[in-house]
Amino acid sequence: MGVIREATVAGVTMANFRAALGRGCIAVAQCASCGHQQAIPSETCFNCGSGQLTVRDHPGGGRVFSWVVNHYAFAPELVGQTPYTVLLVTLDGGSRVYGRLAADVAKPMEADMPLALDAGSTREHGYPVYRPAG
Amino acid sequence: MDRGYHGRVAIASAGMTALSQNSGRSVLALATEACRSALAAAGLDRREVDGIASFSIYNDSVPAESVAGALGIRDLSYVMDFNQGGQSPSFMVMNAAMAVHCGLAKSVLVFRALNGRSGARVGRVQTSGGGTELRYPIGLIAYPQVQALWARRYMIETGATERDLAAAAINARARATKNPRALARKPITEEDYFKSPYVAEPYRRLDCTVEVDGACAVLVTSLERARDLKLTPAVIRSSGWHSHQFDLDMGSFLLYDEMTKNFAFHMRDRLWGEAGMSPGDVDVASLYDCFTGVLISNIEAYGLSEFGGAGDFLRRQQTDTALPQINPSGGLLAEGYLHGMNIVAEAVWQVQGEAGPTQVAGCESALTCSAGALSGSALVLTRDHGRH
Repeated sequence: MGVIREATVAGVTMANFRAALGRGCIAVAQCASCGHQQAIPSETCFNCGSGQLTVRDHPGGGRVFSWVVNHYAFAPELVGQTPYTVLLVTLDGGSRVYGRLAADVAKPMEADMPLALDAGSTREHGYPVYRPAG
Repeated sequence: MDRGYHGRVAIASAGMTALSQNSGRSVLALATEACRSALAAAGLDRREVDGIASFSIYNDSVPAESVAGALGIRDLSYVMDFNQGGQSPSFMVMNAAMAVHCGLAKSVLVFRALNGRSGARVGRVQTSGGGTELRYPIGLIAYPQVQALWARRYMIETGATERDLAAAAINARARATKNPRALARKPITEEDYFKSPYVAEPYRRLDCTVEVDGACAVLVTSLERARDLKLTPAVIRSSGWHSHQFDLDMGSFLLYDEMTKNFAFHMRDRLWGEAGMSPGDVDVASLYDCFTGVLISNIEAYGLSEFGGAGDFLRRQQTDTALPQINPSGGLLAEGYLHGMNIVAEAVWQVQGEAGPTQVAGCESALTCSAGALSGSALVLTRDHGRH
């Protein structure tokens, strides 16, 4: 009575998002109801509200949607890291994630540049680290 | 759709403290001064006020009720404290107007007060929820950074360049030369702009607002009551709040479909339709501009220019006074980041003919707005031609 019961409740939690990063990949949830994919810590689909999500490891490949080159350290722990590039990446399949461009990449970012997840650096840092694909 | 209060509720006055980078005063004292200033401008006794509303972000202000207390106001029948940051100022006015129209209150003070430079700086506090847990470890922390993602995407899709961002910064500084309240009053050239260091590329220092300490308030009441007060009422002709595609928090853009079209793009037909006006009809647009790209986004979202044309529009409106005049006070970029309440006040003063040195001659109407990404709010104000 008054309790929503879903056949399948999975979704992405911060814990399993981090666990996937530890495996060098991205946790992506796919909605069984509408097919929407999202890489967001949520037990429900942000497209249709359904709780029928299935989580899988995504290899992280995609294209850059936008980026910012950071020249100022907004926190003490970022001193010494500037300039660094933060990416907004559209993963193959359509979901988006934030990531860092690997610090040793000299190639300037270009619109829609294909990107590959650097699994080793991702495991090491605990956040998505990217390199130009190919 | 007739919302009832449009055309029947007005802003009677506005008040503001001096802006500084180190007020040395409490947020309560700043808020109280701004509210007293608004009441004095209207000639309304504090005992006539029965509603008070404010907004904050991450507990950086004081409760609205405590400001009412400091003003010596008793027996409030309406209060609102809203914790949604820059999207709030127009929405708070809109809520106050609804409260007045519904009879919850007769006269409502709406204020924003903060020590935004010397105290809790906006956006420097990690929020609850998943958004910051995803961004902060990567070094995506502050609003210049997250908003730069919108600016970059805009440049990708429209072919706009940093010259267009420069046009926003140059307009702000040029306007602010006439505004004694503004913190950044030195005019700049395009050459100056390109010498400005990058902060969060494509944003340079000159693309970013100036953080300030201060407070600002407006007085919302029925048009009928406002007509009995000192100043020409600024009639609330239309208003709206809209959220297009929110995900984890206001700085999280993991889902938003088109980062070249902010929330207002999805609200503007209703906003203008309820005003019975078109974008080109307003004399002044006092728009939210925490960063140059946000101003550009708002100019296009409200239909003041065509898609991709805001930079050119900004350059033209400085000399073509037949076009809506953008941010006569210098906006948040140059006057200071009073979190958008000050650009609402500027719109009020413009419509009332009370803007002093920044007054646009013959101003009859103004658009003002709050925020410029996932969600926000806006007002269309017109000069009353009733009893005054």
